[in-house]
Amino acid sequence: MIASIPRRRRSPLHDGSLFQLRRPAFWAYAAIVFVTGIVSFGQQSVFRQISPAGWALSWALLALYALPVLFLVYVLDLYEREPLSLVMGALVWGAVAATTLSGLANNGWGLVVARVGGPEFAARWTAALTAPFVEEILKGLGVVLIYLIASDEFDDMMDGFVYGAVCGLGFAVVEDVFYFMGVFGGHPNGVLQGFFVRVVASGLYSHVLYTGLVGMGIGYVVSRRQRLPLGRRITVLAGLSAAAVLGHFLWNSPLLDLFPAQPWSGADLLMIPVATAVKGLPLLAFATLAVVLARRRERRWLHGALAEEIGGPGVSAAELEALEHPRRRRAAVREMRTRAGGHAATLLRRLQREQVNLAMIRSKVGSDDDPALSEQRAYCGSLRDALRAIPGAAPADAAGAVADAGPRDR
Amino acid sequence: MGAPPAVDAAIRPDVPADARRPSQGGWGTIVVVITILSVVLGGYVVAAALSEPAGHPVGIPGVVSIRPLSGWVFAGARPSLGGGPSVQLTRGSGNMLVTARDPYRGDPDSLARLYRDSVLSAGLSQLSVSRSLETVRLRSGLSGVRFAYVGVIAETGTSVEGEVTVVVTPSGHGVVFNAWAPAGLLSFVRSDVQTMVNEAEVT
Repeated sequence: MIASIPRRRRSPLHDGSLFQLRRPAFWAYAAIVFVTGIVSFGQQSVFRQISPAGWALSWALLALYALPVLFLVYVLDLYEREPLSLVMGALVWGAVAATTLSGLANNGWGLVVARVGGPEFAARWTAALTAPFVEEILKGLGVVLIYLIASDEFDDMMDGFVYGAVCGLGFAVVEDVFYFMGVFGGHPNGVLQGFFVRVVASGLYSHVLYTGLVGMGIGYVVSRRQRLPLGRRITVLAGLSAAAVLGHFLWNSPLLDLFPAQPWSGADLLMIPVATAVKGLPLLAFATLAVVLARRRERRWLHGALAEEIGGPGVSAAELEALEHPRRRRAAVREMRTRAGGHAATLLRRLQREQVNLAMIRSKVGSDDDPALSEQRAYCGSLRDALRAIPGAAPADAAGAVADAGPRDR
Repeated sequence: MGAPPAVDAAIRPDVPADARRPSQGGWGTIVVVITILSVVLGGYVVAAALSEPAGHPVGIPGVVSIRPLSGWVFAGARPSLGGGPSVQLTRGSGNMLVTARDPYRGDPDSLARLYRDSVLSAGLSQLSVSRSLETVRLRSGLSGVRFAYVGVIAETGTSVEGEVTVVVTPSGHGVVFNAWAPAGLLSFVRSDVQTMVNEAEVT
């Protein structure tokens, strides 16, 4: 007999969407994006009028950079993909709201630097003394708004990293268009030169890293509210934000500036990636380390949350073993597709996702027999039953036969 | 099987019931919006607070008086523009030359063109000026025009960018405020210059 397939359902854990009409944060987000969007649209229209070919080339080249980066950031979160509408919301905030607001704010704080330091000092230091603080705050506040809109989506530091990095990506793309058109001349040759300098030579070090780190700090603060004191969480946020601001400051400052003077010849073009690496590599290394540590932490968390579920209806030892390692998860799905077809593979992927949700529920509820926990265990069990009912899907070995003793009532 | 109940239904014995569900974030949203406004507008507020006049007024007696902002110093008086008196203020590489033409019967537009053709063209090579004149109004209510220019100082070969504001006083004096700085630096003194021009007392 073929078991009925449990209907697809939304996770009870998550808000899931950007469009939370009852949340004030959504309306604040929408209002700010709308107003700044008018300004941003006007600026792009001006660029398009100045050089239609250069403007189109700018966006085409930046799409080649942004789409793979967006994908990579999106899949960095090992266990739970963030809802696309929220990810896009972060991207739009970075591209539209943060860039427009930063333009205004940088100008204002630039006046302060010029007033205090004079024109020569301001010419050298304004970019370093304004943008890192202004832009990281304004992009970071976008991540905070995303959190306020869908607070349940911030389960860990990596969630914050994803939203922050995507917000930074949106910012970087629009800022690059501005530079291609306004600084590199806007004509196709200038755009290509700008693309080489700002993306090929510098693309690894930019706003994606800065805001990723800030987002990670925000994720840390909001996802550990019941486990760690506020002081410690704020310290971590401050540390990660300081690293981002420091990296941005170094990037914008005249310190360690090995950039060759223009006009550039062939040898200078080789020097540009060296110059950008000197300024950008330290932060890239730091961010990479932070992401690796966060992912390990996620893995430990998953294991810790599900270890006691082994033997129950929720998860088997073999399933947890695969679940902890994304490659093994994907391999298991591929193998299931080969063995039992696409439908079974889809069902296995659902089972894996619900097992991650089981871990989240387990880490959020206080007792082992919490009704929500029991329901989720049963739901995972029903998914597995449905999977096994598909010809060829049942594992040949006993290890995969989870809960072979049948659902245990915990 | 039915869908599991929302997690909110689960009650932790050690956590108050209302702590289970996050708030709607109203206060958090307000804090975010206030912070955004502070970051975006704060610089202008602080810059305005720092833009207080310092030192004694300088100018051309009976025509115009300027209160230099802090950091700006008087750099001398000399005849210019058809023999009219001038005073110069500097801050680092930023400069502002204030010149009077007495008497002047035309309007600000014609004086601006005269200044471009007789002064800027004589002192700068590769002169390029903005296509249109911007209308400005000083705090005193006097209207004038403003244009920007770039060029190279013929004597030194230094590339400069500048901004000229021209007014004609009710008493029939033409006044030209010419601010300039090496290329790339004008933007760092423009706010100061515009503040001083806007606050200038003309008679």
